Amino acid sequence: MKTFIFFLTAFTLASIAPAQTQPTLAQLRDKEIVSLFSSLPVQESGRIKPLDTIARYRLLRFHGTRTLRFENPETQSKDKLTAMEWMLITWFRPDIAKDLPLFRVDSPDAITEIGATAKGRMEGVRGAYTYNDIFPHRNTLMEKAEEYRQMDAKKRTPVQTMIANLGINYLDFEMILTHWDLFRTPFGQNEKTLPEELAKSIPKPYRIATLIPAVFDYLKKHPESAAPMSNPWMMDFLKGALGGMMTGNREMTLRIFPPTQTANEQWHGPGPIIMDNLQSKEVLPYDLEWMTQYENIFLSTGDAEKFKAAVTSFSEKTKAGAAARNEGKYVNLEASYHRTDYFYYSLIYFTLGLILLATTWAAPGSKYEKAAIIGTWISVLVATAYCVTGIVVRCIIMQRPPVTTLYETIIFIAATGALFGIVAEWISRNRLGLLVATLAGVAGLFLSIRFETNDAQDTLVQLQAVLITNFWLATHVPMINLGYSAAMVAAIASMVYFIRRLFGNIAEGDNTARSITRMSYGFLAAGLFLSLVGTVLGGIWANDSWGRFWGWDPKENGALMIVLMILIILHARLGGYIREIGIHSCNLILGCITVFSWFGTNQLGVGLHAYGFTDGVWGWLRAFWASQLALLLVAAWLKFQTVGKSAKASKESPQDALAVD
Amino acid sequence: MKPLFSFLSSFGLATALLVLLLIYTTFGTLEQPEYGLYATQVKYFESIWLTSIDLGASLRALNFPCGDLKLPVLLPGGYTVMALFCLNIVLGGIIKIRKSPRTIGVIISHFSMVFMIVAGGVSMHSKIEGNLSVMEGQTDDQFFSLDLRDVEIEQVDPKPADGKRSVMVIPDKHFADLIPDANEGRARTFTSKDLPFELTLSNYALNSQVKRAEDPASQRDVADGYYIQPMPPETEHGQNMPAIYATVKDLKTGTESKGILWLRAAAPWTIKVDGKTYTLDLVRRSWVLPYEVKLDQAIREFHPGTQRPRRFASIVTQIQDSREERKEITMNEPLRSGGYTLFQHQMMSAEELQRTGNASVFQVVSNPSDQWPLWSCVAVGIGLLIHFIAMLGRHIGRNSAKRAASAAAA
Repeated sequence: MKTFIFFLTAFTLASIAPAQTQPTLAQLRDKEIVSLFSSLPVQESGRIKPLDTIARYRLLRFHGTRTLRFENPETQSKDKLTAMEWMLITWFRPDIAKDLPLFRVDSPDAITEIGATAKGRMEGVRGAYTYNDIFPHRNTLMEKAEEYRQMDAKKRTPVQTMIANLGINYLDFEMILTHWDLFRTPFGQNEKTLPEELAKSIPKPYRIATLIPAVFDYLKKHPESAAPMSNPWMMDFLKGALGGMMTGNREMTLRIFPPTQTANEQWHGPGPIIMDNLQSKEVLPYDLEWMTQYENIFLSTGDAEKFKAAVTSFSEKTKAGAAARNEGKYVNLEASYHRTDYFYYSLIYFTLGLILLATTWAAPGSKYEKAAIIGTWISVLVATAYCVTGIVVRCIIMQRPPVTTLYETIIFIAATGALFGIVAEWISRNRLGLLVATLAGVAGLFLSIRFETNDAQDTLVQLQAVLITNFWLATHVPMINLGYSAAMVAAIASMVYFIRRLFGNIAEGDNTARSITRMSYGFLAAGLFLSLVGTVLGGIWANDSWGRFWGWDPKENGALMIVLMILIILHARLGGYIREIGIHSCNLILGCITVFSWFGTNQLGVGLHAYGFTDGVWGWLRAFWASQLALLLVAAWLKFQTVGKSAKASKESPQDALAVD
Repeated sequence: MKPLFSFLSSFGLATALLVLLLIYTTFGTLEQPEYGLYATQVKYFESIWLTSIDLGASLRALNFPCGDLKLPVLLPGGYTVMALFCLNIVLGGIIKIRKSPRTIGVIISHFSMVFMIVAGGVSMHSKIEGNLSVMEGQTDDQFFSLDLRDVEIEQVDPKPADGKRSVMVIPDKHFADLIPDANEGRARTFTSKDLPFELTLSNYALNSQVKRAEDPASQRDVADGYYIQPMPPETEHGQNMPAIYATVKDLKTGTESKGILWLRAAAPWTIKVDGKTYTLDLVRRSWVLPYEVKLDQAIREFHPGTQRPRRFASIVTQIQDSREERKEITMNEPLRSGGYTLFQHQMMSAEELQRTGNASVFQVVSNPSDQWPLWSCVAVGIGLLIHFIAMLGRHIGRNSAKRAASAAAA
């Protein structure tokens, strides 16, 4: 709260300073420059990652996508920026960045509530607003954002959530805009308020290596000057330091200088070098060396060749520093992982496979059908290869097993669902497996992209102490998620069954219907094995970590509910209480239970497995449950028809009725 | 007898019991945000009978706006259902089931499930669980329960002739039911041949605050100018602060004095009867380890630049019969010794650290069935794997035969 108010005040009182040097957009978008910055190792949220990762997730948070379309003022044409290009323009050409349509706001109500003019449908329902569009209403935005941030997230309306997020995003963007102000204009427009003693002690032009010690020495002699509210020059100096941090979230502070002492795990950065040393008012010589190197980048922005040389020199020094600490080994791999966009291309190929498969029903028995099936097989295999490769690359980057976060469960379940479908197709060869594979892939990867966009945070995260045990992460977690996957595949097969029954494609008890039932039954069996063993393995892990095998925690209960539902289906079938329609109806309920266990339990906000509340999940869950309820109504209607036919048959031929379900 | 056996071993009973367990697990999960884990666990999973389901709380947990909606029911509780289910598996899944190579995997799985349920039962009845907090450099051997309470009575003056402390204990199972209703209070009297007084405990509150009675006449029960204000139960494990009225009656003189025993009280209630001084206190139940634990070092590591813990560990010295052994306890690697297991539970927060210095909290558990779930997990896994691989093999075999027949026909 205090931090928020400080940022608010700092950025309100200080205006954004004009750039001393004006690099062209073409210079900033030079491929080599972008590549050098993209692969720059930085420490953020406790992990060494490429700067590109930070740029991507900041842009995703502000804009909802990782690219930004804009009107290029230099070419006067429509253009598209990558995340790294956007960040470089924001850093070095804030005058242009302030007019980029950056802030996506879904609801016009959120914009009108802060007093700004909402963009109508013609500009798109998801209006994109520039920094300058919102600037006149900044104070209202900040007041309302603060008010809504104080509310329980679960009780906020969607519009209130949007305003709360917009306020945070706006402030964070201002910090990116002012990232170089420490070097550009260290005292902002309040330089004239500098105390004479201090002004005399700093050599001109300002250079960071002499400026910081001079300010700290002055503050030692005059501690009262450290109060920013009564010292405008100090306010602007701190504003520059905050811009150096790049965000109001301390854990996400930009740390770009690897320390030379191996004992110190925390990297330094332009912001922390000032903010962390405000108490001691001491700055280490090697920190000043780093700052000078960093300053060289800014000072050379006016000359393309010098700029490239300065960035190259800084990049080499940073990488060498990281290598000396045996850190940042996978920074290039991570930058390449982002560029390759495995899951996006996987989604495209799964969608292509689904479309090809759908078209086979238009021309059964034709040559086209055979060609389309081959095309579907190729698409599904390529899509699955993309998905699996993406997961493997993530494992290499993080040096841990594949599933550790909710996001990772989604891509893992999509990949394994597709693999299950491929195995089923290999066994049964009736296209049902292909259909399940494509549906699982499309649904899972679409969900993963939505989830990532909604969350807008780095999906490669450091783990809590209790989770850092590769043995359990490699056994219990994949087992449980394979169990989810198998249960969802069984449910998808049953959805296919009811939709095809509804359209009269299949009839109860015919070969196709029996084949679907056998397949879903097979996945129920696999689901039981995987969920039961996975759940018990989790219990053993919990016994080692928390001292109890079973704690009735919502996530544990969710896994148990899946096991119980499968056991109910298997026992009810063995007992003769349910047959074809009954099994598929129960599978739909199993699907509802599985998504509750997968996502819903996290939303309850209780228990040791609570990964945090995610906005919008209840809406998706309700939509899924409603769709399953609709299919259950179809099931009831089909059962009603079957019973009707059975009664009619028994009237006509009583002895035959015994054979009908 | 045969119809009873048929019923108890039937698929119908198995299905019904599984449905009940699914319902209990569902509502036992959805009620947790409002009632807390402990209360929900007791209501749904450790009960003999279930008498109500809070549909309103469950719908609210699913983010549906809903008012109060409690459904009165009379169903066998979770404990009863688990016992019946265990019997059903034994009778139907082990005794009645056809014995053949085809069913060997199923029988192994059923047997393992029974073993697992029995492990749960043994754990529920025999497990001792509590917390042991130790400061860096200090040694301790006493750990305290989170939820179990005792009333302790101790003669402090004159001290016993042998110099040893002698404490009389009333476990909470003898007074936790003394919760008053709107119309009348509830009380129970305790006597002992070693005590010169009888003790009446009355009007227990599971969670409470003790307040000064500004207008004693308006309160039903007041002791020494104070009364117990019952509070809604806490949803977090171990957070309740119970209190109870205690009335001491001198057996010789018939004189009565009344006090309040409160878990949060700074000091026990002191009384003088027959020339002797006694203390009465409501305390967390405690146990003593067969060895002492000295905390040499509490290690707290965070991912750099964050407050996200990377490693919590404690270097301890286990001291038993003047033999010392240095050990490390980390998350996922507890110390198992002497029938007790010490888990790294938590570290003090930064604020607590400033107040108290480095300290570590261990969860101490004694559970005879500690490793049984592991063994049953291995067995159930083997059983299911045998069964499902055999099923898959038969299915693939049938498919291949069909395809071969179709090819031959073509």
